[in-house]
Amino acid sequence: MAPAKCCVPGERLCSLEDCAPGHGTYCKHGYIFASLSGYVVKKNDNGMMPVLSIVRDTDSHLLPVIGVTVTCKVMSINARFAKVQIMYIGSTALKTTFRGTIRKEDIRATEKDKVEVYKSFRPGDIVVAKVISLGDAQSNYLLTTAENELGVVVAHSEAGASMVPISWCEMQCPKTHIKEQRKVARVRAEYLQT
Amino acid sequence: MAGLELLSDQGYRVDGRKAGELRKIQARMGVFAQADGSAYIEQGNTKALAVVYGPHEIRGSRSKTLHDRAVVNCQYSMATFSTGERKRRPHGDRKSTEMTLHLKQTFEAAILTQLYPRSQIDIYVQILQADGGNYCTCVNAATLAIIDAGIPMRDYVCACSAGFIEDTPLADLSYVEEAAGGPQLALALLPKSDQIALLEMNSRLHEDHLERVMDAATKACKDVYAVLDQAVKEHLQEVSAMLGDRGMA
Amino acid sequence: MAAGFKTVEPLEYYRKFLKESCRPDGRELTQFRTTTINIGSITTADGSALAKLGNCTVICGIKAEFAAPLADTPSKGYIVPNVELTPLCSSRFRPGPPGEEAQMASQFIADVIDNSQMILKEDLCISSGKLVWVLYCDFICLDYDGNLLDTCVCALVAALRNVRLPAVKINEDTGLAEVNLKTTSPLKILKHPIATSFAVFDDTFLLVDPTGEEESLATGLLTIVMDEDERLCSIRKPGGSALSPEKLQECISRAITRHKEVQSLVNEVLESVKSEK
Repeated sequence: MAPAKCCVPGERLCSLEDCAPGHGTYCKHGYIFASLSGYVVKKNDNGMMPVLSIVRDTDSHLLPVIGVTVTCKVMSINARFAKVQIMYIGSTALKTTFRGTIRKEDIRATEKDKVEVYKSFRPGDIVVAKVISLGDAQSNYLLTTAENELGVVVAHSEAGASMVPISWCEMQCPKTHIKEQRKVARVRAEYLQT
Repeated sequence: MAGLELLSDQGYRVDGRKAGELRKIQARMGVFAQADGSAYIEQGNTKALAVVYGPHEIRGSRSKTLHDRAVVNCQYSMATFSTGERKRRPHGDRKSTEMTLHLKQTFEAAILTQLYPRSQIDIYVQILQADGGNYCTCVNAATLAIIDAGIPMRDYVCACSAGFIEDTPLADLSYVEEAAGGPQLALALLPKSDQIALLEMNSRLHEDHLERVMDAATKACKDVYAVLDQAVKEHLQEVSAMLGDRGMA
Repeated sequence: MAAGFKTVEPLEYYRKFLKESCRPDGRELTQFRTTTINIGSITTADGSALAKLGNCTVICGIKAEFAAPLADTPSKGYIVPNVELTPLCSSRFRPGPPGEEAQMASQFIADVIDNSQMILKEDLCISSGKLVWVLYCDFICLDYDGNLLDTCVCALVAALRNVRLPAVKINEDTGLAEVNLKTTSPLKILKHPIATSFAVFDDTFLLVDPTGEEESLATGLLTIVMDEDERLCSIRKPGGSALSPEKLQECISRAITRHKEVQSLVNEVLESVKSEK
C-alpha cells in the first residue's frame, strides 16, 4: 500500500471537480482544504465521485445527532420524564457525557397515556434510546425508547443483583426471584452472548 | 532606558539577535493525559502551555448555548512566579481579561464552530515564565493544542510581535524591548490565506512606518508557521510510528 | 467489550483485578507510578520544580519577598503555600475562587511544613523586628490524575532545595535593605518530608498511589508523611472505611521505603543539575 500522505490544517488538497469533501475537510473558492492534522484517505464509492477524508489516530469528537442510537444511564426519574446521561453514541464511548431527557410520552409506542415512568425505568438502569431532538436553550437532548429494540438493557434489582429479562415489560432478579417492571429492549439474537 | 542600547550599531539586539530574527522556539504536543489536546511552547524564555477540552456539553449557564455553533471559552492566566515581581492576581485582573477576550475572538475566527452546534470548546492557557510576547506565545500554543485535540480549523493561527526602534522594525520582542516603550504591534495571522485574525498596536507610530512594521510582523509569523508545522508533522509521525499501521482504512 | 463493562460497572471491573492482586494499569497493589522530577526550569522564580507521578503533574514555583515580622514573633519569617486547581488540569474543577479541594491541599502543605520543621522560620530572619523573608510557594496542578498531595510534597521538597536567596544587608545609616544579587546562598533545610497516599477499597484492599479513577471509587483515603529519620510527621485519614492497626503499620513501613526512593531520586536530579552548571 502506498504510504498515505499526511496533511495539516489549511493545506490545499485538490479541487472540487476531482473529489467530494468528506470528514475533516472544508471547501473554499472551489478547492478542498484540510481542517485536521492526519492522513489523507480517498475512498472510491462505486460510480460516484471519490470522497476525500482525513483520518486521525484517535477517534473524532462525536456529538449526538438526530436519529442515532445512544446508550445512556438513568440518573433520576419523576412522574413526567426520566433524566439520563448519554455515555455511548452507537458503539463509541464518549469522553464526556451529555445530558438527555426521555419524556413520558416517548417511552412506549402504544398506550402512551397509560405509561408510568416508575414502572419503565429506575435510576441506575442502562437504556438504549434514539435521539429525536437536539433540544433548545432550556432543555437537553430529547430521546425516545418507543421501539421494540429500544429500552432497558441492564438493570439491578432492589437486592442488588443484575436482573434477567422475561418479557417486554418485566425483569426477574435471580437471587430473590422477584419480578420488577421495566420497559425492556428486545435485543436481537446475534448480539446476545450465550 | 538609560545605558541600555536596544539596537547596537552593528545591528545586534540585547540578546544577540538581528532585527528580524525570532527567538528559538521549541514545541511539544500531547503532553497531558486528562485533556483532549495539549501543547507546550518555549519561545526564548517565555514558556506557555495550552490545554483544550471539548467539544462537550455547555457547563454553567445554559443560556449561552448557540443553536448553530459551538461556544469557544478561553481563559488566560499567568503563574504567580512567572514574572520578576510576584504577580498577586493570576487571573481576573484587567490585563488577563483583555487577553482572554482577544484569544476567544482569534480562535472563533479560525475554528470551524458550525460543525458542533450547542456545545462548548474550552481553551486554557497558562504562562509559566513571562519574557515578552505573552499573547503571541499563547496563540501559538493554543493552535498546537487545538490541532492535537482534533478540532477542525481553517488554518493555523500564528502570532508574533513587532516593534520599531531607530528606524528599524524588530521582530519578536523580549520583555526588555517591550518595557523600553516605543511602538509595539501584535499580529495573529492565518498563514496560508494571509488573513489577519487579530492586530493590536500600542504607542504612537507614524503611518508611513506602519507598512514596514506589518511586513516584519508578517514575515515573522510565517517563520513561526514553519516551526509549528514542523512540530505537528513530527508529532504525527511519532504517533503513527507508535501505533504501527493501525488506522489506515 | 471490556470498555463497556468498565463504564457500566466500574466497581466490579476493579474487583476482578484486585482479586488477582493487580490493577488495570498493570501495577501491583504496592507499586508507585513512575516518578519524574525536573528542577530549576523556571528562571523567573527563586526556586522551582516540576514533579510528575504517572500522569499527575504539579509545578511548584517559589518566590521570596521582604515582609515585616509579626509583633509577637519578631524573628520568624513566613512560608506561605498555595495550591491552584484550575479547570486546566481536569474538567471536574470549575473556574472561580479556590474550591474545597484546593484549600484543603494548601492547608495540608502548610501543616507538613510546620510539623516536619523542615525549615526553621528563624533562618528566614534578616533583621529581627524589622525585616524577614517570606517564601511564597505556589503549586499549579497541570494534570490531575489522583494523588495530588504526594506530588505536591515532592515538588515542594525539590523546589526548596533549588531556592537560592540573595544576601541582604541592612544599611546602618539609611535603614534600608541592600540586596546583593551576586552572592546567593541555598536554604538551610533540616528535614525532607515525603508523603505516601493510599486508597482503601471495599474496606479490605489497600492501594498505594491511587489514580483519579481509583480515588473516585475508593471507600477511604490515607496519607502518611515521613521524614528521613523514620519519624512520622503527619498522618491524615479523613473518615472513610475503618482500618486496623496492623494495616496502618503496613502502610507506615511502605511509606518508609517510599521515602528512600524519592530522596535518592531528588538527590540524583540535583547532582545532574549541578554537574550541568
